[in-house]
Amino acid sequence: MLKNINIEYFGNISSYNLFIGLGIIFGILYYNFKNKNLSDNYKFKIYNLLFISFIFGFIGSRVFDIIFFNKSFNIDNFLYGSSTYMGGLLFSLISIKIISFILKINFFSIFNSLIPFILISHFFGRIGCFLSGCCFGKESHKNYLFGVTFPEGSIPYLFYGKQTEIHPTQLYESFLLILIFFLLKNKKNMITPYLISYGIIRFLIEFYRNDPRGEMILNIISPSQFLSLIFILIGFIVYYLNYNKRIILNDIEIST
Amino acid sequence: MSNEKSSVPMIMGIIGGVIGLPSAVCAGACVAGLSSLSETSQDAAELGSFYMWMGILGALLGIYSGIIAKSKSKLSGILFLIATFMSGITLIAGNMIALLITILFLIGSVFSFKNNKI
Repeated sequence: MLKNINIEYFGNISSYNLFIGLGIIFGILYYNFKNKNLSDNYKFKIYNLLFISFIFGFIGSRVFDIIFFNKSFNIDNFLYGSSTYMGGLLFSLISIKIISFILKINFFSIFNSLIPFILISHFFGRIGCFLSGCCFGKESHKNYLFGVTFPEGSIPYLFYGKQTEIHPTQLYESFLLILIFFLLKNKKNMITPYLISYGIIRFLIEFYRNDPRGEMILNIISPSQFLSLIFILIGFIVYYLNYNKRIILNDIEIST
Repeated sequence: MSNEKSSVPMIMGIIGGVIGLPSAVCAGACVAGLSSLSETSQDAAELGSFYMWMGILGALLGIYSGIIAKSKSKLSGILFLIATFMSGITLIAGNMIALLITILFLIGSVFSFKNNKI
């Protein structure tokens, strides 16, 4: 675990934030690599859209956290609270939908082209989670291959009150995300497999997570599992719409 | 020599921005707690709020400049300079991370203007 990286004279840098930044950088580099032929104007539109979606994503991640944990809506809970990835993604997508409508560009085409970006940045983000000790798992037993122990003072240590072997759920998710990335990177329709596979992965990983999961829905599933089911449902809807040619997934402006 | 635009501004902008956002919130809170920089506690709170928002807006501007650096290099260079200035101001609050961020944004600005010539 490496919650902060100390740079002599300057002070501490949060490794979680650093990894989020690395994720965005590698995501954009890959986007540029895969879309070399796009016109500069179209790229400028996409970058503006990305930036606005980051802001909405941040707002969404905090808003969903407040809702999941039944906290009161105030500036402190908003600025200093924790974040939920799925809420952030939903808000980002809503903002992309609105802006793409205003800019008259195809929403599904943009979403489809941004799937590798989402996977890469999420992969790095989960490594950041592991380094900061959040999103930790349940106690693993000795017969498990992947038990990890977090040091004294870390979030899992404070939660369990002792050093104990737990599931590195952050690394499970990270590994599976990069696996999805390699499986999907050359597919024409990436939205459907992404939403379905991530929905299933997240639904299953939730069973191994032990950080506060929010108010259970119907006393059965966590809010994130509920959102996972919605992701899977949307994945099937997109598949149906694409199969019946009601949406276009590869409508991008190429420079001439 | 390659005609490809450099990715340096993007890297500088994003790294500077993600480091700058939390440090801006911390610096604002620190200034709000320091009475040595102002006469009354209300003044200190206002000053803290000013530094915090200056740092947050500077960091966001840095991220934005980094993201658009390849498609609009000149605009990115100008915005980087404004972000450098905004982050630089928060140095008064004793926020040493701001010095690092200011340097990163300045490098980003130089490379953006260099990219504009390509």
